[in-house]
Formats: sequence, C-alpha cells, structure tokens
Amino acid sequence: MIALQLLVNGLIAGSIYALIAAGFSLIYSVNRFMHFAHGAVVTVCAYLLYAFFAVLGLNFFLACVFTLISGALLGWLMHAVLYRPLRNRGGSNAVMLVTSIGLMIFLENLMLLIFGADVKTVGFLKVREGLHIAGVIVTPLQLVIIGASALLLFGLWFLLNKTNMGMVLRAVADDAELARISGIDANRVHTWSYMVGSGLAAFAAIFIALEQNIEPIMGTMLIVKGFTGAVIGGVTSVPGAVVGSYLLGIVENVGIWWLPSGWKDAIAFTLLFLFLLLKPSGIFGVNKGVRN
Amino acid sequence: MSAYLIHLSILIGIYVILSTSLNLAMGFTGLLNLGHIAFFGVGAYTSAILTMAGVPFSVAFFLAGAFAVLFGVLLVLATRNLKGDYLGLATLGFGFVVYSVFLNWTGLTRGPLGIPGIPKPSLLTWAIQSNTEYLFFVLLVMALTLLLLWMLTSSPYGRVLEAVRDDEIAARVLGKNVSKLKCQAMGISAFFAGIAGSLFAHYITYIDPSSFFLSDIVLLLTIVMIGGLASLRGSVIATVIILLIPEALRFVHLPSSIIGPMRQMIYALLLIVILLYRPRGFSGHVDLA
Amino acid sequence: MLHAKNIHKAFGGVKALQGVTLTIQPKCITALIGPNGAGKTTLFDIINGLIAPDTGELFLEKENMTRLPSHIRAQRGISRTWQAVRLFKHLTMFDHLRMAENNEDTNILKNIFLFSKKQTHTCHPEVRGNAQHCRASKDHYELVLQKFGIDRSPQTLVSHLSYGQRKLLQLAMVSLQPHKILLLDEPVAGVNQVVQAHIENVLLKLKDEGETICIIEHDMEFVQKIADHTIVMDAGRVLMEGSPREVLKDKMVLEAYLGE
Repeated sequence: MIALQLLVNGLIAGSIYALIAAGFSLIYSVNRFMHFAHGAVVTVCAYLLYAFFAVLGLNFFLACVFTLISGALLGWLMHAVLYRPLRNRGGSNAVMLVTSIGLMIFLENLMLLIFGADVKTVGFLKVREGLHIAGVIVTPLQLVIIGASALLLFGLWFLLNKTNMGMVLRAVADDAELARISGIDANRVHTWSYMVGSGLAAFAAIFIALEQNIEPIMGTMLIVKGFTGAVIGGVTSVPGAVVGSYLLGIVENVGIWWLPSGWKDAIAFTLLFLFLLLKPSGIFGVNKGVRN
Repeated sequence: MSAYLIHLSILIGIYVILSTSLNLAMGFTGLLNLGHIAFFGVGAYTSAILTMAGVPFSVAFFLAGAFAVLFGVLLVLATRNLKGDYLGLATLGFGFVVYSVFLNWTGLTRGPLGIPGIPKPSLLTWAIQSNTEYLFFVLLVMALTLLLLWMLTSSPYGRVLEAVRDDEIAARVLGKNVSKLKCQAMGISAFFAGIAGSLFAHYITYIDPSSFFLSDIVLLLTIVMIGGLASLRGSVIATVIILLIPEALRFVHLPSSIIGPMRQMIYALLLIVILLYRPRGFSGHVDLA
Repeated sequence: MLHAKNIHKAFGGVKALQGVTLTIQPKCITALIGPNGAGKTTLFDIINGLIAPDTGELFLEKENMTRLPSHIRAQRGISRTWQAVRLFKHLTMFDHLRMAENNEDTNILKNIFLFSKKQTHTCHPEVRGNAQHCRASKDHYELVLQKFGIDRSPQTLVSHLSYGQRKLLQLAMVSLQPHKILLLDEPVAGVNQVVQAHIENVLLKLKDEGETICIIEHDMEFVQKIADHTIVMDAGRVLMEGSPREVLKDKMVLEAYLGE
C-alpha cells in the first residue's frame, strides 16, 4: 500500500513538473537555448495569483485568468526585451544561459522585495481530509491537479500536432533556417513559444499556489525539477520531457522509501547530473549536435 | 567604521581569489564552470570540519585546496564530452549535488544548522586573532594567488590554455594534451577556490549550505563578466567595484530586509546589462562561447 | 612513411571509407584526389586520431598508431592543416608559431619557475615589461613569416589576417612543428592566383628540403604542377594510383571525377 501511495505522490509531483518541463522544452526546441528563468516565471505567477486573489480580493477564477494572461505576457516581455536583442547581437547559448540565470535571480529577489521572505498562502481551498481510494490517500485538489495537467498536456499535444500554429512551431524547431526561407516569420514563432511555455508555467503556478505555500526561492527548485524531467526525456522533445517529468516525480517519491526525505531534491540533482554526463539527449530526444 | 572597512576588505580579498580563479577556468580555458561556488564550499567545509576535529589550520588550509582539486579534476573528467551551455548546466548540476550533500549529510555537516564556532586560524607561531591580522593574512594569500595566476596566464602555458578555449581540436592536432590541460586548469582554479573557502570559513566562523548556492554563483559570474573573460586585472577591479556598489545602499538607511534582495537584484541586473551591451566586459577581449 | 591498412569507417548508415589501403612515400608530394564525399578528409581525420576507424590499422614508420590519442600522434610527427582554416582567434601569429614549434608550453612548472632564456615570455597584449624576450624570438619568427610570405608583424592577431595569410600561417605552423609528414587539406582552395603561385613555390621548396607531404586537392592543374604521386579516391575506396599524368589519362578517373 505504501508503494502505491508513493507512486500516487510521484504522479502528483510529476504532473506539476511535467507542466514546467513541457513549457521549458517547447521554448528550448524552438529557440535552442536553456531558459532557466522559466522557474522564476512560475514564482512570479504564483505571487500574482496571491496578489489578485488574497490582496486585491478578486474572484478566484478571475484571478486565475489574470494570472494566466500575465504569465503569457511575461513570456512575451522576456523575449522582446532580453532574449531577442541578445540573439540579434549574436549571443552564444552560453551567454543566453548565463543571462537567464541572472534573470531568474533578479525576479526571485524582486518577489522577495515586494512580498517579503515569509511564506504566503492563497487560502482559496480549506484544508480537507484526504479521500481514501484503494488504500491511497489523495485530496480532491490533487486529483484535479493530475487530471488537469493531463488535459493541458493533451491540449499542448493537440496544439503542436493538429493546428497551424503547432505546425509552424515544429517547423521552426526542426530547422529554423529552412522555416525562415519558406516564409515563416520566425520572430513571431519565437514569441509564441515563450507565451505558450510561460502560460503553461502559469498553470503550474496556480496548482502549486493552491497546494502549498508560496515562497520566493521556490522557482529554483521547480526549474531544476522541470529541467531534470526534460533532460531525462530529451529536451528537444516535448512529449519526451513530459514522460521524463512523470518519471522523475515517481523516482523521487519512491526513492524516499530508502533515503531520508531530505535527500528528495538530491535525487533530482543527481539524476540531472548523470543524464547530462551520460545521455544528454535524454531517453527520447534526438541528438541534434548536443555533444560537441 | 574602520572595523567595517577591514571587514569589507577581507571579503573583497576572498572574492578576488574566487573570481580570478574562476576566470582561469572560464575565461582562459573556456570551461563554462557554473559550479565554481561548490569548490569554495568544499574548501570551507573541509577546513571547518578538520580544524574542529583538531587538525592544525595550516594542514586543513591545504587540504581544503586539495579536496577542491580532487572535485575539480573529477568534474572535468566526467564532463569531458560536454561544451558550451551543456557544460554550464552539468557544472551547475554538480554545484546543486554538492549543495544538497552539504544540506543532507547531517552527520558530517550538521545540515541546515551549519557549523558554528570555527576557530580562528593560527599559522605556526602566528595566532591570527584580530581582524586586522586576518586582513593581512588574506591579502598575503591573495597576493600569492594573483602572482601565481599572473605568471601562469602570461606565460606560454596561458596561451596554450587560450588555444584550448579557441579551438580544442586544432590544439590537439598541434600535439597539445587537451584533457590534461583542462584538468590542470580546472584543478588550479578549484585549488584557489578551495583555499578561499577556508579563508571564508575561518573568518566568518560559521558556515551553512546557503552560502554556497545559486545567488553566489550569479555574483561570481557578474564579477567575471564585468571584468572581462581572460583578464585577471579586470576580475580584480570588478570584484572591488561589485562588492562596494551595494554598500552605497547602507547610507540610504534601508532596512536589511530590503538591502538583501536589492543587492542580489543589482548583481543580476548588472550581469544582464553587461551581457546585453558590453559582452566582453570592461577589460576583456574574449566572448563567452 | 605512412601506411594505412584496410580502413573502414561508417557514420550511421553512410559508409565513408570502405577498406582504404594506401602508403605515402617519403620525400615526395603525394596528392589525394577525388570528388567531394570520396572520404579524403575523413581519412585525414582518422590519420590524426580525431575519428576512430571501425576497422583497420595505421602505421607511421612501422609504429602502429591506431590506438594512440591525437596529441601523441602529432608529437610523433603527423602535422596537419585544415581546409577551413582553424586558428586560435584571440591569439597572435607569434603565439601560434611558438605553440607549433615546441611543446614546452604545456609544462606548468617550467613556465612558472624556469624562465628559460629563449621564448618563455610572451607578448600577450596584457603583459608588458618583457620586450627583451619578445624581441629575441620575434626576430626568429619574423624570418619564418618572411619565408612564407606573410608581410605582417608576428604580434598581429590572427583575426586581423586575410584569408590567404591565414592559409600561409597554417603552412608556417606545420613546417615549424617537429614532424615527419605534412598532411595539407586543400592548401590552395579559396585563395587568389598570386597566393596560389606563392604556395606552390613554398611546397616545392619544402619538398626540396626533403619533406614528406600529402595534399588533398581538387585543382588538377595544381596537382599536375607539384605532385609526384597521385592517389585517386572515390566513394570511400582507392580507385587507382600513379603519376599525375597516368592518372589523368585513365578513363575510370575521368568518370569518377567528371561524371562523364
């Protein structure tokens, strides 16, 4: 029974990681760079939800909508103000990575400055007794998270594979040069990828804000998890990143069967490190000149 | 006030060692090492734990460097196939792994509680008690570090490291043992980060894992990028300037809960601005590739 | 001098080399010719140890090199230039020549503690105050540059050189590098007539000095002018060998080359 419980816990964690990893991987495959500040986007969105709902007192669902819009706008802003000018100046991937780490620290500390170091709770849902299903305890919220994430990820799959916009996104991800020659406005596609990716991050932020406390530094941990999930599955493949994230969530939670729970984060770090060393293209990813 | 100036000078001295040693790996050799702060941490913990167990400071000081070298060489060997941003992420991941070991190996490091009461050092007959004496000690170590790094980087050896950075394969075909050179450069870089960690631990007398995490990596990157890659002089000057800038905030009489985040925001913003508008820094001639 | 034995190499499904066996004779210029994709540069990369062959062996004067890492092969005497010039863009010509000439520079202790009289110090832009040392070896390298027809100060950054000058610098480097054989990947590709004539002279002079040279070349006119021996490759195989004249007369070669 404990095994099943740990598995379900892993699934819950994996759902959140998958949302983050899918956005990260989408941005990576279209723009070819590691948007580390993606974690800070989650943090900012969680605080925005807190501000809209708990501070301004808006209707919860309205607050959620505003949060999602702000998330997408933040994605647009980062691209327009920072990443696009950097690329236009011929900045290498290393420059972009270092910049995004700087951006992440900047945003985290901005939240710290505005909202203070103490944890915040959105407090929309009352703490409830978990449901007992087949000997496993889950809260209704956790069920919603699992379901909604799956739905969103399906939506992303649909967007990427069945719509015009998705086709264009994939075309740029496959071969940006070729896409440009065929008359695709690459800049608009890059912008879309940031907006969609950051929108997914905003969804993750809403779930996290409902389930746990919000604190300024949570983004670092989250992006490491999302990123690790993406690397396990293959950063260049959005479905791979999703599968990798669920795997990570499960491994992490099942892992604490043997290790003290403090080592949970260490599991992710170690997996990340090992995959980068041994299989940087991930389980499902295509190696596009990743090495060398 | 002068006590405060001494405190600031000690920290600057330690960070000069850290940033110039990072520049050896990152600027001269082209190893984008985002885990440099882990070597600093390894040095700090090694030295703290050993001296608390009764090992003389002079021995612990060198072992701090030696342990960091071990980690540095292992890191290079493990990541030898990676380049550019992937190398950066792997080294960042290495930093996270080391950080979580500090945090979770409570039997050794006391985890988040940290290690208090680290003794002030004594070298042979010189018991370094006052901060003024400590400043002398730090400046001495810093001067030796800079001298060594300068001799190294201005010699033909430094040019070979730069060749490895510019085109690894061409360097190999010229007969240079590139993997050995990378190990050496990273090892030397880690050694100085390790002894800087020892200096830090015995000065502050208290260490916990939070001193060795992401925000300090950003500080180091800001210093190295602003000074310029492959420029020791740039890193020295940038360290002084970057560490002094947030001190201006003190004169505005802001509460410390605001100064802390403001300082980090300034560092991060400087890093972003320099990468956007002056990617080679103020005294560098090399791009981050 | 250099002997390759039954070398196979496939990249994924593409068979780049399918059993190449060839010998490069000492003290003459051997030209490796063949259409694009024949596997010439792959063969160079394998000789250098940058790519490991799937099967096959490699000998330099009877020493089996097949398992040696590339920097050891270079130290044993295999010198090489690149078709697309590879230089260290932040370094000066002086740095390049010194780096090619000796391997002392990789010895940390020697570099820090033993300031040997010759060439230990450099003239990196950041370093001042050792102009004496610079001048001593600068003269030496100025002569080398003159010999190769590069009319610039040794302190010039390679990023400031013209394409032709970079090609020439590569030649100067390999000739300074202690070597037994020179592998030159398209030494005249992309340079103008004047530089080409100049490189031709340089190569012939090197041959007269007793150098063993192997070049990859497309320009048959150029090959005829300088090569003593020609090896034709096509689709990963050695098609035929002979003097340039014999090879040019061969029908198979014409078909492979011109697709007629």
